[in-house]
Amino acid sequence: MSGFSVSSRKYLRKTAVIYSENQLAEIINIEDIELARLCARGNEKARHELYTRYAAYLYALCIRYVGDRELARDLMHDGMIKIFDTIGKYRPTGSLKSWCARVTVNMVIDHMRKSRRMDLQPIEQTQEKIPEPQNEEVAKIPKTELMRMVGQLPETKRIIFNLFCVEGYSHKDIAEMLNIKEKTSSSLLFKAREQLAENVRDYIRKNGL
Amino acid sequence: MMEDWTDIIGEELESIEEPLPADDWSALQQKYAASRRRKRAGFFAWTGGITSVAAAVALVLLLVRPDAVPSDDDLVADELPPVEEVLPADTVSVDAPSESPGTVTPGKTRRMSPSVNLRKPSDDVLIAQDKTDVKDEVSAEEEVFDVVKDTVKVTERLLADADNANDKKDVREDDQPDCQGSEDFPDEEPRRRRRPIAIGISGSASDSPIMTLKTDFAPEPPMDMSPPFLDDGLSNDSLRVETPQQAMGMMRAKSGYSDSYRHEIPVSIGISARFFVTDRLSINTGLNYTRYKSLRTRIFDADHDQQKDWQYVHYLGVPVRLDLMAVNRKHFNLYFGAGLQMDKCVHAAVGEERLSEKQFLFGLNGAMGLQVNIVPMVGLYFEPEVSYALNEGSIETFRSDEPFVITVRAGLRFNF
Repeated sequence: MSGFSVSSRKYLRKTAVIYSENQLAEIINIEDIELARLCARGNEKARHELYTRYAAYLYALCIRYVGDRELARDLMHDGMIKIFDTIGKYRPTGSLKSWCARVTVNMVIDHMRKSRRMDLQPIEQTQEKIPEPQNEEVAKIPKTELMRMVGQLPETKRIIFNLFCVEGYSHKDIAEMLNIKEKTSSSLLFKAREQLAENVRDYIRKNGL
Repeated sequence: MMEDWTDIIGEELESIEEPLPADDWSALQQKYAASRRRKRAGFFAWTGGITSVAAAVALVLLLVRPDAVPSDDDLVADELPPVEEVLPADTVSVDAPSESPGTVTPGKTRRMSPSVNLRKPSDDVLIAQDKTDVKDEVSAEEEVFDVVKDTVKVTERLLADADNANDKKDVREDDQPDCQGSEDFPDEEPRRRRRPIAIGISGSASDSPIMTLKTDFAPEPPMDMSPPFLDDGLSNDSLRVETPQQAMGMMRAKSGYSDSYRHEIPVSIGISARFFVTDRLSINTGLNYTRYKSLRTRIFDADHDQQKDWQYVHYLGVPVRLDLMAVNRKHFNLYFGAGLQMDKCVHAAVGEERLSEKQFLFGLNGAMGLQVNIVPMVGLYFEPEVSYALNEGSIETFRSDEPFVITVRAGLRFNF
């Protein structure tokens, strides 16, 4: 007989047991898959380890998307809870970090959609060419400044920029995630690039990089 | 391919981490606990709602189909002896003149159903049917009419002696009129009276054995990293360490340990009684004994030594379930039920250490049962049951680890 658990969860549980009996005290050094298995079993130490490894990264991710630190922290918590609940579905085809990021991004987008903060109307692309910064110049800008500049983008453009340029989603994926047309996604990204380029050039000009 | 300037920004941002407040983990734990409580409450509300709706629908179905519940007349009629016991066989024998379908075969004895004759309107129907059947032969029709009249008289007399008829409760199925399902009497399927009480003895096993890992955090070790032997507490005479084992025991006590459990299949036996409220609805209750067996592995942080002990937890439970009879045939019944179970731990120990469990444990359960009646008095039943633990209790068992459990019960049920 089998319970209501998903079969993959059962698999994770069984393999987790073998690990847990032999190397219970070595939780800190175990690989992602073992960590996921232990988390799926409800192991508190393993959850804490997962939190220690990825919470700061997920927190930064949430800040990138929503800008507000308090809201970002709440969303990060919601994301972690979702991760704890669904980690049994994790498959070791990609890294656990990417999987956690995907879960959290979906959580953030759901939140934005529910709070109706996204203006997803298509924007006309202008033919005017705005001068873009050089790669070498961008590389000299500190991370915190880059984060601040992205945070200054309007909400919708910020989300599209993060999804496309940081998380690496295609316009097709973004269109599906946000329930918009691909053209809307690309036009919003175009505008985000324009605005970000302006911010970057301002910073370079002010700091003489 | 040349890298775009936004790719550089993307790479930089992807690796950024933001420091979190020190108390963030405990805040997350609290939120997670609250989230689980909400989920459980939601499940409870949904299950309760669905059960209530199902019960309401079942009740409405019963009310709009009053024929599903036998009337008193029917019950009395079921208990009446066959007509032939009252009337000589030749008085109810009819020689039909033709072989047309639906008519009586010449020389064949037709046994009249007493339950038909008890209901006045049915007499007219019967008479009308018989008239149609033997319309070619008027004399035969009159004979049939006379037979019916005689039968009515006899059954009226029997009604007057209803008390005597009550003594014959256990009318065997074979003694029932064999005209059921015949074309002559299409509506004359005799109903079996539902026995008011049934008692079952069952044994069950739940789910597959699973391994679980549960970690208990012992109190934080003191920040002072000096050996425990030099600790002020141990300098006291009452705590003086005399053997290495005692020293290790003290050291373990001061550090901490992790417990992991491997749960065996819970085994349950019980006795239950079923009380029929209506013909189809019944209340099932009883007493269940369940034994949870687990292997506890304790690993001490101080020396990583393992200690294995068997844990036995014994529960007594009282289930209360509302069953709805979906299919009721002579040899088998199919029923569905939903209800609550309350369990109390009567004994729990791990190794030589006694465990205490003060609280009552509650659970919801839903079951689908198939009963095969070997003989009218005794039935063999199988009951796959899904249960959900509403609270876990303080002792680690199969139940606390897996709130959803599928149990397969099998047992004997005695019908009285």
